[in-house]
Amino acid sequence: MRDENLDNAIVEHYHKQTLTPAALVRMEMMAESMSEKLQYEQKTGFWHKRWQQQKNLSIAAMFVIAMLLIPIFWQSGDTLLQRVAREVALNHNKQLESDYVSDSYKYLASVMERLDFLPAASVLLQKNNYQITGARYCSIQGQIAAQIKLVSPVGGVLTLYQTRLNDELAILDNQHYTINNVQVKNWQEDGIFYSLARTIH
Amino acid sequence: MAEKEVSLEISVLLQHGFRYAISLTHDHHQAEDILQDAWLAVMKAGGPHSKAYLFSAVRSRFLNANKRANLVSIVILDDVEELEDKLLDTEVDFDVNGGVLEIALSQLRDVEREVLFLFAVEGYTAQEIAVLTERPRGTVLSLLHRGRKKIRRFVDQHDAKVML
Repeated sequence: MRDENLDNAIVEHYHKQTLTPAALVRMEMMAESMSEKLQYEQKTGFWHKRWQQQKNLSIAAMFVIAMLLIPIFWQSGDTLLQRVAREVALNHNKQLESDYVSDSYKYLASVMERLDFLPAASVLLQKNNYQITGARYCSIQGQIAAQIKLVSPVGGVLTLYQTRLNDELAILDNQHYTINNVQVKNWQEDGIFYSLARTIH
Repeated sequence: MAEKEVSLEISVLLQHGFRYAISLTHDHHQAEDILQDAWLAVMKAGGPHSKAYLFSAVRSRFLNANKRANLVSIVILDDVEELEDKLLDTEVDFDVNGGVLEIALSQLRDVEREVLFLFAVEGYTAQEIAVLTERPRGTVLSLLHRGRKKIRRFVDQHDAKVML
């Protein structure tokens, strides 16, 4: 048998070998379903990636918003007593010069016309013999107030705040709070809300 | 081997793959199993639908499936001729009409059948077969020569028996 004849016989032999129709159909269907699956995965893969990107962006945005809002909520989470005490202590620590220099409440009442109340000496402070040195305008919780500078006979400067009493401030009557080494004491007398700030050492 | 890059119709490609698997296994069921595994792998990889790619997938699955057998059955090259003689001297009860060639091919080693198939049926050159099967070209030519020789001897032997 020559090589050529042998090769022809081999070709003929293998051409008779065919995949059964059932197997052929099965594998063609495999190809079809796999192709659909790949297309679906490519499609969903794209959207999945988009979703991941959007999700990451959303998380970053939420984080930034949270960082911005935390101080706001932190403050709003404070009680009224804490908020007033923080405001009073801050102004006390600034030690700003008085705009109206006087040792008389009567004088202050006459010159501080923007106040909607008349500054007055507190009965509670009478026994302490604090000396008035002057006053300036300020505000407590958005309401106009007088910031009066007092000097203690034993030394030390105190700041007394007076503002018109309202329902909100009324609940702080006779309450104390210490913040940043400043002791804040609140009380009310004759329609005036008083808040005294003293540095403690 | 420009032909291998051509994308074929799936049914035609599968028939090519099946015949190649038959040349390796010489068994219809095993060939079908191997082809199916290889086809699935090709599909998962997203193609290409080329003969060379499918043949490569079929071949690697065949080698994996027969790794254990190949490891156990080690044939020393010096003994090959002797083994061939033994195989060809074996009394084979075959039906001529049923296919002398079929039985002759069954007497060949997998590698010899594979090379003969790729050369005669698929029309690959020795160099192309060397690339596909990762063997030196000289080995391919040797396998081709040895395969043909075995078949010729087997057929001659069969013819002599018939004449008697």
